Amino acid sequence: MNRKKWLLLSVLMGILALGIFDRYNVLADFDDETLPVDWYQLPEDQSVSQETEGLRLGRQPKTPVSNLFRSIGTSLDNYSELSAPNANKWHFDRLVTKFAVSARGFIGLLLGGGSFSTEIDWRQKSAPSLVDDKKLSESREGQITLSTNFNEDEVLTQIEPVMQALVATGKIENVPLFRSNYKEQVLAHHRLFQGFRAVGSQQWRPRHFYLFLRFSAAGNVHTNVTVGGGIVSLLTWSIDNRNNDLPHENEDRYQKQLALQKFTNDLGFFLDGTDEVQLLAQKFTLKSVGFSVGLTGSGLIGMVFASGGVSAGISFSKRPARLDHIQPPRSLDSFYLIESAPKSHHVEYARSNNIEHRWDGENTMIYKIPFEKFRKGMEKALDISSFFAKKSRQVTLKKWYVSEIESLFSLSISGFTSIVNLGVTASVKVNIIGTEQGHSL
Amino acid sequence: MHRLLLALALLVSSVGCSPFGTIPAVGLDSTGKEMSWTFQENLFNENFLTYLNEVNTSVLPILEEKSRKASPWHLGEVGVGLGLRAGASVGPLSLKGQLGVTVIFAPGVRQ
Repeated sequence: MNRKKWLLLSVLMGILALGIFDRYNVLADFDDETLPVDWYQLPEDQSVSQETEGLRLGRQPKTPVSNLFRSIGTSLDNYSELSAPNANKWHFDRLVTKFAVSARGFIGLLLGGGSFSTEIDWRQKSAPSLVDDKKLSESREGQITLSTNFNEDEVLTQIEPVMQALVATGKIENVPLFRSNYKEQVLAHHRLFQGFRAVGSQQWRPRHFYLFLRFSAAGNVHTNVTVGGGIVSLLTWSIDNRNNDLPHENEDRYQKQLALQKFTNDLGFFLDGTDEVQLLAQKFTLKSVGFSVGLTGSGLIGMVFASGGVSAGISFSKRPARLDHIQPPRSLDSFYLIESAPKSHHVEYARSNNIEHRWDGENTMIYKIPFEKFRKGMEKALDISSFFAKKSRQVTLKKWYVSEIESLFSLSISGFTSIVNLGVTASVKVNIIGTEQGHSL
Repeated sequence: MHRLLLALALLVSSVGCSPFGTIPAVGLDSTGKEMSWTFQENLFNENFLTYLNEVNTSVLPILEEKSRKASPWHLGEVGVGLGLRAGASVGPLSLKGQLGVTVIFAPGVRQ
């Protein structure tokens, strides 16, 4: 081979090497984003899923989270037909994207049914604030807002148009059964929330209760997270702190309400000790935190290990610390995690790890979670939220930015957390907000 | 031969240097079984823009019309989900479904 041919061959090999090297970098980037197993599987489920799914530690599926942010962000940036926000006209205000995680840790856009893991809000940069922020925030939370001060007649009056609207969708086959079940669920929760008064914590205060209901086409509450047929409904109760006393007409109900008050006050104190360093590093701040709330047959209140069609909870929001509200630090003990129809390997995990647990009735297991252990779970939830915040910040956009990220988590009987997968509902939700200034340009 | 080598090298390098990756999607089917899909990013982007445009241009006039009619109900935010066109952007796989992308329209504050 003469010198000219060698030179040509060298150049060609160089081009080939560059191409392969570039591909290697892309793959390396994906590896960097592989979700650790403990991010998407609770400790009590890891051994079981490895047996049934053949998963091995270190061989998780690839998770191109960067691609999702880049692709959606650049598509928005390239969308030239955008209607400019107008004070008197309807306009394209924002885009919401939902990411979901499979039980095997594969993350992607939610397609079809199942629970989402993370919801991302995209907004236009420098868009004038045409909608009242408070109103916007409330409209995200539910179709209507009830109050903890309402009596039952007022609640029924308020939910009537909601039931009518849900029936009007045509997805409910047995309307009388649906209406009866809907009223029963709403009133049962209202009886617990009625008269609630937030006291205690310094910065984190309960803002509202929420109730998410998922009905089948037959008019019954769904027993699991499914797709197709039926409808979903979200209601919220604003907490009216003008209440002075809990209604004390019924001793059993009164005791449940007292238990709810203690549980939520403890959570407020717990959140006061939350460290946001990771989020602040990404120029995001914690906006609100929600916890599921459930009631056992014997009247115990706690968080819920949920996968059914009913999901109730309480949402906390942060306010600036005020000197006149400063309370002495409280030593927090523990709370309950409630699991209906418990999985046998969960009970076995609790037994073998000395986690305090007992039956409450025939079909419900309660686990005692020390707040100290839940602190680690909360830190992990913030770490995962911070991961999404960081990925959103790596996209360089001209016109859009990520303004809000809500991530949903399952709570382990050990106190740890993992991001929810497609088949479950959340025990903990973390909502963080960012400003357009946080984006690299 | 030289031309063939050159074409091959350029082809490989262009694939390797492509700025596009893949877009994954996951969800439950109607029986509750987990499913996952992968779209080519450039094709996904094309479809995404097309849908965004279709939704934007078709929904806004309807919302304006609705809000002009007298009604005891105040129309707040409206969210319109993006779907997937059957067979679009997933090669031989025919797929239809609601994607986890919602365009939110807001009425603005009336002066």
